Amino acid sequence: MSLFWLFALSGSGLFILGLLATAFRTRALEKLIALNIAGSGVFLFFVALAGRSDPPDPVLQAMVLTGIVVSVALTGLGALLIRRQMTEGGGDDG
Amino acid sequence: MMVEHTPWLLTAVPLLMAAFAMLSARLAPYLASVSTLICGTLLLQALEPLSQETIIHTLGGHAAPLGIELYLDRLSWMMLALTWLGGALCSLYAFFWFRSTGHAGVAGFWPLWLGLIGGMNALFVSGDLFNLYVALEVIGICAVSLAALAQSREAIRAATNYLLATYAASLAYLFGVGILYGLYGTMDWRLLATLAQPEAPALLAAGLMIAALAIKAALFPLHFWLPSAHATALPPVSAILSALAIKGAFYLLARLYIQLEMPGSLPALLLGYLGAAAILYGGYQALMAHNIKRIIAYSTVAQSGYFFLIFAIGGAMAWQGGFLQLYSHIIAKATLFFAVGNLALAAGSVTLEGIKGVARAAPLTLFGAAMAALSIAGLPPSGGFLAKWLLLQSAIEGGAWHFVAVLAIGGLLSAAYLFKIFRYALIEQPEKRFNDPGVWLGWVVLLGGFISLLFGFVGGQSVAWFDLSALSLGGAS
Repeated sequence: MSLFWLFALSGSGLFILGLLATAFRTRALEKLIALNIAGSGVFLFFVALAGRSDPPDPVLQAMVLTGIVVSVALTGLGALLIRRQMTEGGGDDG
Repeated sequence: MMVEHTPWLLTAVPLLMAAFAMLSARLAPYLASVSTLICGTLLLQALEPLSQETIIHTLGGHAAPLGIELYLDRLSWMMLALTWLGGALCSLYAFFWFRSTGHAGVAGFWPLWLGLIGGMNALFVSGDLFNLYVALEVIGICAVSLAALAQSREAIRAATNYLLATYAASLAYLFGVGILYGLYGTMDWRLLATLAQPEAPALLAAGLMIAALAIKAALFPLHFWLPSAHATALPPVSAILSALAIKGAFYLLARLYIQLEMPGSLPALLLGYLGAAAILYGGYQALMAHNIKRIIAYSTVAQSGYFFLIFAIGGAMAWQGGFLQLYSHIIAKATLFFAVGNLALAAGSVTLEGIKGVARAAPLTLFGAAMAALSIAGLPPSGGFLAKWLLLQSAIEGGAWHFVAVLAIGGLLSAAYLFKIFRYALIEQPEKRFNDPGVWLGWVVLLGGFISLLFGFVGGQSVAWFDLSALSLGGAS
């Protein structure tokens, strides 16, 4: 098995495991962490694709960087919302 | 001469205004007006050249496959124009709603709302799968944050679920894009349409992307995040989320269908049947609900089902009907959420019991809502009627009798759940005291209702304008 397939398959595996955990875990924080793991899987897959050529494909690396930025933003927002849920005892009208 | 810059300006102007709006909450509504005026002018200017050709802008002068190209064709233009119109109505309502309630969410509202408009405009002109990913994320992050502005415990929980759903969907979409790039070395979808083969990895990628977009478009049974998120948000936000935010994902699915020439394929049929299930399920849930915001939110699940029918029915007439339904829904659903917001202000409650007799305090609102309700229930003369009529006719022509039955039952269900709201609002309660929601809020509802009806008269010509013959739509006709 080549290095590409090793990384591509581990990336896909992480993605699937992460999504499964997101679907079956009950607590929002656990779901958020599971999605981060799934995201790492996707990025690993991208990096594996980039590594097929020498030098590595810069387009894919740029995409991973963008993906990480989006992922950080979503995780930050998610963490904030979850903390709000835990600390606040409810509010005004909906 | 300006027109080739239109595609990127439509994104840049709202985003720039969003940045300024963050600096001053007091100036923010004026910045939104400036953005609306500029975008409206840009769209009007693009109308004439578009009747001859597609406007293409090559960002930074780098052509595809490496560079990013923006495309503006008639279908994009219609989406941009209707988003503009629905957006202008939402801005107007939001301005008066925040002024009359003084809700603290106003500081976050304008920057996020302008960001959402920028993301939607970017989505409609992108011709590159990765650019589309970024646009989808801008929409997603802004939409989740807007949903959370209500601050109540239920709203925060609903926004968290919305975020988790949209996060999972974006990862699936990104994975699909990665597979396609690995196979064909480009993300420009016009190039991909010529390169793509029906091979296993490409089909897997398409499946991942379709599933991701179905979550974002809240197609049954992936709608689970929608009813709570849309029912707990602030009234102007509910209108924005229900009328606009979910439409981007549907538009992308329609584009994928056209570019990948999917007519008659298994995924297309599956989307159509899930749409039919959404019409029945959403209608039933709306009929059973007691919270009027929840009724309107479930109505969105049902009404979105109609768009998906076009994938299974196929043909130019069904597509015209489906898109007219999309456009009518933008205006009618925004209007209904405005109306619900006004009723909640007047009665201080969003339950059917609570709004008993509210008609006395909000006659303008109820009249405007009735006009929008005609469109949702598919009664003449309204855009919704014309849309459902076109869908019905194309289902009959194609011999798809099961869809004819779904359309008939769906129409009855929507008439029933909307009638329920009016019936409670009209029960005489002489001793009950109501607040005055303010005359301006009522006028915005009336304006929205009026535009909904207007679509019944001009909708036919406008959907015939975009060149459906150039697209591959399948079907009997």
